[in-house]
Amino acid sequence: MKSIKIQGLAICAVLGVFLLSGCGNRAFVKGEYDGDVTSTNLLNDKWSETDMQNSVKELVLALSQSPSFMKIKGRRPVIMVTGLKNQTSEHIETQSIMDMFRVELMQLRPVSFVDKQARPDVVEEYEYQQGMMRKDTQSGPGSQIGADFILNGNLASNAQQAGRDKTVYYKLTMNLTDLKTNLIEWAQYKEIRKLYKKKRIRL
Amino acid sequence: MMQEKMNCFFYLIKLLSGALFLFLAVVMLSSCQSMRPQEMISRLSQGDPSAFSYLENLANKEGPLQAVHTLNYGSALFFFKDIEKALPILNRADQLIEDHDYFSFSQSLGAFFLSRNLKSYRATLDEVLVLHSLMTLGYLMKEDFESAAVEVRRLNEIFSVADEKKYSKSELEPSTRMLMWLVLKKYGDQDNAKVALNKALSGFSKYGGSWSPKCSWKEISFVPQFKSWVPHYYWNQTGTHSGYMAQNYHSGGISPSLYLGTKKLSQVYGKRAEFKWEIADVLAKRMKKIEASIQASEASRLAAYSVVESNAKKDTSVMDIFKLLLVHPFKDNRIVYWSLLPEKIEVVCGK
Repeated sequence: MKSIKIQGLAICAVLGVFLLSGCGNRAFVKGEYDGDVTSTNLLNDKWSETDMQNSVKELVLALSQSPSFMKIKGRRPVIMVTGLKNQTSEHIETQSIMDMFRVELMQLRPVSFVDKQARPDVVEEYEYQQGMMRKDTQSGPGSQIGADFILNGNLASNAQQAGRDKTVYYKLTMNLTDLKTNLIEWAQYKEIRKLYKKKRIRL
Repeated sequence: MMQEKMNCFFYLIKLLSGALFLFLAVVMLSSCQSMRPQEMISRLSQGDPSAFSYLENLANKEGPLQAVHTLNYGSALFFFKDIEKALPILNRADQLIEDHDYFSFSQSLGAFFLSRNLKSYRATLDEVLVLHSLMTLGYLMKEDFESAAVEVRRLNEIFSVADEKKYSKSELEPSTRMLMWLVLKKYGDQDNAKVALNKALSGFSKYGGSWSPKCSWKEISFVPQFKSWVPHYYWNQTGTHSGYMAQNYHSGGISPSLYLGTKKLSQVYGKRAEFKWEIADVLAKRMKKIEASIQASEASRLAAYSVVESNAKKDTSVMDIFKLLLVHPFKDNRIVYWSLLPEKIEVVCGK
């Protein structure tokens, strides 16, 4: 009787070891939509969409309240986004941050953006339209509007680890430069620090 | 009546244990991955698509060895196919290495009793340095200096963590610092470039060798040398419980005709290396450590077996199970490691 009990326990132990040893990161076999894309995502110690949303919203709000745009009378200020320099130790899609910045700013105040990225396509289209399109519908060189401001930025990070503890610090700095004067009319930064505890031993 | 019931239960348990071992054997055998580096290299260098898809399938399989399979797949793409495609795979490998950087009791037990391959692959400092150096070289070749600088900052973090753990040192540090110097200089970060250079020079004086920078970033070419490989260990599974015999398989010389960077291999091969990563040494050291750990594990298995055997008379049935566990015939002991690395990676002046 005792022997059978021990045998049963031994089998359970073997099964347990086998099943537990397979524990770890599993394939995502079942997913569901998260209704709130703004809910906090701290799944790992990397730059996340929550960091992007928080930083961009705060900086856009600050920029929209800046008096820099008041100088432009009678029309919308025109901004050109040049880029966000990634000075972190992670491969971050900085274009996505600038896209969000542009959209959020457009929703908060009447501004227009020059599409710098589309320039090669625009030039190609001008050439195509010459002679191909009806004259009154043709667009061509000389009709574009020049930018008043350049918007650029810098994303820096600093990660520190001591034992199980890890801190990750991000600083997103944005600058608005007046194209005529080359003066930085507005600058602001947003800091984020995240604390993590690393599990070194697991069951 | 009671006795009959007991006999029936006992029989059922025996059947179950048999079924369990059969199940485990099937599971273990189905997860067997026969990767012979020499054969794989030769197939990859011939551009055999089945070799790439084989490695890709392994890399996509979730499990404790996913990180190393992803490293192998990323390296295969990097050295033999397309650096652009390789970079995201190597990035994923980096993430997996970080995710699996922990000690697991259950995995250790599983590795002792069932299969060594149930234990997560934990990369060494050397391997992490090689991984990020490769990625830095890849971004340099793509002329994506911003991403190369990202890798350099990542390397900086790795060195900081290694410095914090006083025992983590790597002989690859000077060469890696040289690469960091090269990238930071190109990226216009002169101050940090100087720091990297000074640390590289002090590393050379620590680990031997000397260096004075001559290559400009435009001139650099990156040459992997697939001359020879570190021994690959297989374990004789026909052995009894008394131990598993190690067998070394040395490869023949394989020199695939590939070139990377802007210059043909023939133009740069044989030129003086500006700096190099002696990977063969690193892998050989790793294999020695693995060998020692296997020997220790086999010794403890033997000790456990002798204890079980001496107690077998007291409780035969349960001891039989332990005996079976200690010498089960389906034990898959092949060592999976980052095998698709060349013996040496050199950065040479291409002019």
